[in-house]
Amino acid sequence: MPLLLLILLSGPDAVFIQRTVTVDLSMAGTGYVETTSEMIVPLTARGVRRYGTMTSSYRNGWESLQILASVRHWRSGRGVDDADIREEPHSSLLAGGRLESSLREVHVSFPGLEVGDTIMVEVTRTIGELPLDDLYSYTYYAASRDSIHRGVFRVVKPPDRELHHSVSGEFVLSVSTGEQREVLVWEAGPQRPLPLLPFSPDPAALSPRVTVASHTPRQVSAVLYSRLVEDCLGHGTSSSVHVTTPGGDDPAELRDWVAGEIEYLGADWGDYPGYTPRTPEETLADRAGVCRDKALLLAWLLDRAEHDPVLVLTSLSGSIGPLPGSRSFDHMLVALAGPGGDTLFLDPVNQMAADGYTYTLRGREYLPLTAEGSPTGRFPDRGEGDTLRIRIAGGLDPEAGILEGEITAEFSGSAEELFRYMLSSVSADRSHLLLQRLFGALPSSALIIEGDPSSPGSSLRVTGQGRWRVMQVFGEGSVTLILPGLANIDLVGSRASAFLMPDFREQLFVETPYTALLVLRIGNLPAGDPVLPEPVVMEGYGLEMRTEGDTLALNELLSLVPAFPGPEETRNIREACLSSISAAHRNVTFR
Amino acid sequence: MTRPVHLLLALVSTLVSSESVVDLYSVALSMEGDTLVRVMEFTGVQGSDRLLSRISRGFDPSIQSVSLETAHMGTSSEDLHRIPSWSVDTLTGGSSWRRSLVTAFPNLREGMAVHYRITVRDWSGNWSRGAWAVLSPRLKGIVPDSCVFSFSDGMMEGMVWSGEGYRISSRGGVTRFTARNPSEPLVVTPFTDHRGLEEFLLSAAKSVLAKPFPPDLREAALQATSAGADGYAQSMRARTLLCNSISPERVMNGRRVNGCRELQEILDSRRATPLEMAAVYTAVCRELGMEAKIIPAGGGNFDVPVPSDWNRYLVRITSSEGDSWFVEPSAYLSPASWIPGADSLRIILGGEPAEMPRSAASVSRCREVWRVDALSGTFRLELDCRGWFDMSLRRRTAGLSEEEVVLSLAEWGWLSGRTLVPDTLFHGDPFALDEPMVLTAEGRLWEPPVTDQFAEVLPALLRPGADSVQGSLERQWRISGASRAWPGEGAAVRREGDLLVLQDSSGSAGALPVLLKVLR
Repeated sequence: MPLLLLILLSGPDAVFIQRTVTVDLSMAGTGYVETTSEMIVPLTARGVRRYGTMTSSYRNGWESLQILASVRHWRSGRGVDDADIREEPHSSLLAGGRLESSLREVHVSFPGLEVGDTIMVEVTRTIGELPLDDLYSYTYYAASRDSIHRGVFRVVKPPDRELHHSVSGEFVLSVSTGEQREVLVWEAGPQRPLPLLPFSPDPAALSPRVTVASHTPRQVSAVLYSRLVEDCLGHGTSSSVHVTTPGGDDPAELRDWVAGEIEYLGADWGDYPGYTPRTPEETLADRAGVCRDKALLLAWLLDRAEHDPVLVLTSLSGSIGPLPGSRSFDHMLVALAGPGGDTLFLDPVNQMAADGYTYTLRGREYLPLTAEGSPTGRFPDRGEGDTLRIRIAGGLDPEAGILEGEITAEFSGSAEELFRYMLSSVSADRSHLLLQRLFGALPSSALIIEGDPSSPGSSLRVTGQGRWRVMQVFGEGSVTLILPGLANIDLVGSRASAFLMPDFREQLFVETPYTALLVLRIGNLPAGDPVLPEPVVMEGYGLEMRTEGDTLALNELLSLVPAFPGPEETRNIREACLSSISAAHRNVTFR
Repeated sequence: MTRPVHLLLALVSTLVSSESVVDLYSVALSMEGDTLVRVMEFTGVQGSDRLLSRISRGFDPSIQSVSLETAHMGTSSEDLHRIPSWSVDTLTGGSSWRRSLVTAFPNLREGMAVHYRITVRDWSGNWSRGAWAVLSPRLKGIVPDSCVFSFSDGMMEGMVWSGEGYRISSRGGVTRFTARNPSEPLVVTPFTDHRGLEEFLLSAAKSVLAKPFPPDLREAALQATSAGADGYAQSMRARTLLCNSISPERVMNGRRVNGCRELQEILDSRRATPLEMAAVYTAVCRELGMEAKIIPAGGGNFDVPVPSDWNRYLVRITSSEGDSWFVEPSAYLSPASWIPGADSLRIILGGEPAEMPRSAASVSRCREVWRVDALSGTFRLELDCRGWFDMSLRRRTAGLSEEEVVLSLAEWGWLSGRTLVPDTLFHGDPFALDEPMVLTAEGRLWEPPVTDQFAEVLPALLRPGADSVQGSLERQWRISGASRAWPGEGAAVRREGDLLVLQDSSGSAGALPVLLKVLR
């Protein structure tokens, strides 16, 4: 498709005239060189803001960056300006509790950038050695948030060097082989921008991509087993270490002990900070560590308790892809063989996850580390059991237009993890304010948390006396009540609905997929026979109202699943959400 | 955790209570040449809030240094040991500082004691008229049991100070201010009146404006004349031009408060601090033949003149006809004539502190019209905003793609208590500051009704903070496809041809329940 047509059709904020990545594996002894060359023209003010300052990160110690960057101004007389380049510790460290200033961030700013200027930037990353072992992997993405006119991925390697690759999407491959080196070129045609929006899939997951890697997942598994398990656990921990864990031998309680007693704190430890775990001795001595340290300690404790733990590497920030390398992982868990052939996962950092791993990992890949090497697996997605159940029983105050009653809210699956996380994030003396907001209750409500949200062993419920607004309008000789529904009482689900309903996009990502159930029982109704609406029954939504003696009963269900709905499921979700915000379904009229 | 969790928590954010205790907090100030030296020290006990687990001290490495002298922890104040060396690192300073010296006290449990001491050296050039400081008696939100602020070597000579609850004593050239559970900051300043403070704040900018203006500036002035011959209109166009070509420089803590680069340097970098923006704007107005003066604005609510918080800069323009008006050149995404918070803004005018004069330009109003079709459940929203409401709408839409604005409107409706489904949307250019901000959107509110009479909730867009704005909000729902409407409290209904018009007379009722009888 011609560039101009692409721009007119897709309305991007910028266009990459060219985006070329060259990975050079041919320079024996000097590691790897990755060179990214980009020529970008911002087309809107947003494009100017997005590319006015670009950042690249690297680890000081085993890799370096060289950056050539300039901007060619379209306005006559302004010529070409070199970019301002500034380096500092990575901005994620401060908030993340990681004292690892070896992780650097280079800011490349283009002075006086305007719409229509041309940015030229070339970033060369020279990797002297890879962390942990020589396990190389690189993924080239052909699409981005903005249009790309021409994308080229070039790999240079010795002809005899084995290289694995995986291709997703349309590319044209050409290979030229000489005596010293072989060049593989994957070329992609013009690409539309991929939106980065709330409740949209990650653009990286939608982009055509090529992954090259030096090893298969099985090989990576075996090598990292040697580096992480044998080197750190096999010999390092002396039998003189004495640990008193209240959990004894129970895996879940050992996990809780590690998660609770070892502070999450990172530092520039070891040869490869962020990659090399410390030995259990070191972690215990400082009572501090990051996920790898904690996972290794947990594995050691489980081993001592005569379990058979397996360390598992994965990524919380995105897919590890089909061909991971030693840089592909950002999280480590422990796995045990469970009953019936299931795998029991234990996350030594996140205590909230009901399944032992956060619901955001469902369906994603992990790599078990074993001596003989293992292929990647996927975290199970049960696809059910994610539920929020709310029951409110009380009486109507017609004068004030208030429903006052007892609430009980119970959670399971993803809903439980989400609510545990939110409820444990505030102090006990302020939690009632959070609860009022989450359940749409009026300020004078007295909602409380039953159980300890930060302790997965403690069952969690929300109960208490609450007050909810019941809108009422007076017609000719009648009063019509608009009963509160999930749209008013489930803040999490109603917010998701608001984002999911606009239908300008085809693909959705339901960030916290769950089914919400609301049961209302209301007494002290106005005099007269109530006129009730017809029940609503549709895919993913249902609402029924009936009288039970002097009580009015409302049952409502809204199902915002699955996380990645197909086209028909997307349509159903949108229709279900629209029904849930249509107040006429919750009318009750008294004449 | 995932993005929605953080967003949800931001929406329902609550403050964590402070249970940690700081026994003693002290700051000792001294001068070494033109360098201000602060030694900051505290002892405390960790609470369940874990506030003392991390102590960060921000600084700008180009003009400041920070050295950690003591970081000890232990089970009690008698049993302290030094923290490991790995638990101290220099990181970025977040949004307020260039860098931050972060000290982590690993595994600091409730009831454990902490002792921390640092020395900060500051050669920012802020002390050319003498040291000044606003010393907060809070540490991570904790009010210390006891507080000591001291000034050495006769530093307090000729200085003035303010602060409730402090006892002052002097010995050996050291002046000490002590307080128990202090509630107010201690303010110390060499400026005895606002005239001296104004001179200090504007000294660099005046020097820049005294030099010949660069040619690029004349070009900007020339473009501003496209607004016509009227000086006021030219000044508004110039404000828009500058705002669109110069980005606001992030104002970091610790910087030189009165720094102002040369005009050409500012224009080349396309970035400016509020003072630099005021200097450029003043120069453009003078090129246009108008009289223009920079006016410092802001200021903390202190009893003595101190440079802190005088961080906004207005320009007072006087046309050749003698008309006079104020402009805030660095006001981000505001109507060109609008000065945010003008009702309560303090300025320094002619060397005296003053309130902002009232003007017609500070009027805020919003007209929010919803055209709703009862039979289809569709709507058309028309927003026409001025003043504060205009600024609020610009900030809500600026920098967002069309898709993001649609989602933002959907979220706005949800936050206002009535979710709506925007399908199409048009809005004015938030960066065209000399044109009023408008937004229109079309979409869906409810499913087509199955009965002839039903109750629904009409949407409204709530604006946090609008209650304190002096202005008017007119909200109207114009309903088609209905023969009768019975609104809930706070609204009146009238007929206009085929339409039923519901008016929110209070302007603040929010989403409105209504009983509708539809036309079949």
